[in-house]
Amino acid sequence: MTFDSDPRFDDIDNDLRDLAGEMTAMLERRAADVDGAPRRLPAPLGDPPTPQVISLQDHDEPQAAGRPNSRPFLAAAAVALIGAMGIVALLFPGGDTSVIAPASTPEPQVTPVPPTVEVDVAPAVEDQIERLQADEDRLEELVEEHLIDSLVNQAAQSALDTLPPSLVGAIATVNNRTGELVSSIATFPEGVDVARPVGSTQHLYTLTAAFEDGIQAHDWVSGVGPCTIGDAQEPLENFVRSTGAVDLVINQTLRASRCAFARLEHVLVGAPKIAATMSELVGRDVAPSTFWTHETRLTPQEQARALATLVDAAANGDAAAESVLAVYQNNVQMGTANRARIGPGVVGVTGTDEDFMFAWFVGSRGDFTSAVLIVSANGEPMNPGQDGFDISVTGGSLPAEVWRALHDQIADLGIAGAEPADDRVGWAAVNDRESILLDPGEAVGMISPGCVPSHPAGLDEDGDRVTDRCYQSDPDR
Amino acid sequence: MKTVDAKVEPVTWQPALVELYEQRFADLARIAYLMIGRLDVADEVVQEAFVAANRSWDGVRAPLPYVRTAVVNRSRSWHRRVAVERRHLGAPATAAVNHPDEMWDVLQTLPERERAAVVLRFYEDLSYAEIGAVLECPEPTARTIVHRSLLRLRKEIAR
Repeated sequence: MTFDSDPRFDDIDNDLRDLAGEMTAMLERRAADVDGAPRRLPAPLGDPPTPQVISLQDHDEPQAAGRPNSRPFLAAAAVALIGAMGIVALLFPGGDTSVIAPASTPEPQVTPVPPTVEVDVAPAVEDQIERLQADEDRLEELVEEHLIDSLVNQAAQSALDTLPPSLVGAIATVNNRTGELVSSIATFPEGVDVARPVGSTQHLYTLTAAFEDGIQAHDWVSGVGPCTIGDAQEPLENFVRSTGAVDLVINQTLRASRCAFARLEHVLVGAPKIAATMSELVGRDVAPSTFWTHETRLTPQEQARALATLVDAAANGDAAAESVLAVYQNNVQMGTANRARIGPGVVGVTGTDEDFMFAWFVGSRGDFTSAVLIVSANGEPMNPGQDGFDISVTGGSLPAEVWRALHDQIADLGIAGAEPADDRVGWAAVNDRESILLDPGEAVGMISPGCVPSHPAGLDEDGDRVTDRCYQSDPDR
Repeated sequence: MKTVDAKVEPVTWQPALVELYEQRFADLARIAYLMIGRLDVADEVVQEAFVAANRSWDGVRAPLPYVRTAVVNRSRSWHRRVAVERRHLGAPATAAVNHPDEMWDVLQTLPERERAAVVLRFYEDLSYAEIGAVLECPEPTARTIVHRSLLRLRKEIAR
């Protein structure tokens, strides 16, 4: 079956067009289940209800005739029940209503039957009660939704509270399955609303576009630098200690080779395709640009939404998304995102803008994806030697640690979709082989309790810098 | 005998809504039915949407898009409410109508937002911009949701 002539399918991929057509046919077939006869208009409702005094008045008339939509309802039943109980109680004060009469009474006993209580409830009251019940249902639903949002928001605030005074941050968290924003919080004005340079997190979009074009993670690409490609004004150089070899795409990603990605972006894929992919993932039109011109800017919410979309697409069998996530799972295991390694299945991408003004970590675990943006509070670059900065803040350092602090808390919340906490994994730092991805002098995190690094000589005098990492239950270490 | 009575200000229907109700009730009920899978609930959802539109009439600029969005939102809320009930009660609160139709069955497996997007795109024939307006998301996101829904449907069918 083909549906090529239907404009609804013009933008549907060829391999999905038949499915879309069959779905359309089914929908039209099922729609015929609705007979088309309009139901009677319900009673219109006014403004939201205000507290009212309900008066009980003597009324001998039966239920008013001709009153539409008048049906027995909760209030009427309750009033009738209370009325009946009251009458029975009067007839049998203090006694069990199931007892007919004392056995000694000589006269024949007649079981008293309470008089029928006819109750008329004004339709408007019924409507108000219905509306209140609907509101109650909605309230329960909102409470559940907002409870999760509130808990994640608190966790995000708590994670940001760990930042030193010289830094400010913003976090957006998105539900992978629904795409809905769960939490958005910042410690500085417009932190979550203003788009900022994405640094190497642009590789996420470049790789997605490349894999959609058929490039594989194990294809070869040159990362040799310095390189002069496209409209670059001067030769690009790879990052410090990022080797410039010809290597697999996946390895070039893990070592964040600028020249490899320049070739991928400009020669193999093309900026327009990458911009289109980015537009699709973030949900707004993004103009084509090259990452070395620093023009690509996104908000934390957009970054989180993009990765969440990829996670969801991968869960639904999208091959390109699966490949991208495989690369960025490796990035957590052995690449720049290794500080976010808090258990299996974590996906993470790091980015630092060239001027060290913005550092990103975008990571996903369970049903939640968070984008963490760290910014210098004093407007100075966040690298060593600058005022107030004795450490180098890159996407793989503090942003990843903040992300980890957040998702540790999310795991502890026990909310639906949160990965359970994995206390087997501890970490200390990176080993020599992997430290090629980090800048010299970069701060490292705390050593997990019970974790004994295999190279204790790597510890500094304070015991907070090591040259190894430690997985408490990892048999391979 | 006792009668419960209350003083409530009379409220009337907006004529434009009455006209829309007469003309488009069935269309809107079909959208709700395709999203919910139950005829009785679909009727209620549409009626509630009209009641809400009448109540908020001062803020309604375009009645049909407003009511259609209200129908979609209430259909989605119905799914969420049922999901909450299932979590708390451990069993479905209501049984869906049984249809021996594979496409119908897999449609029911979609999350409510994606189901709404599929119905609005392939049944209601809305543009992505219109779908985005209903689902409160940008046009490219609406396009992504539809595409993702098809991928998910294909995966479900392949199971």
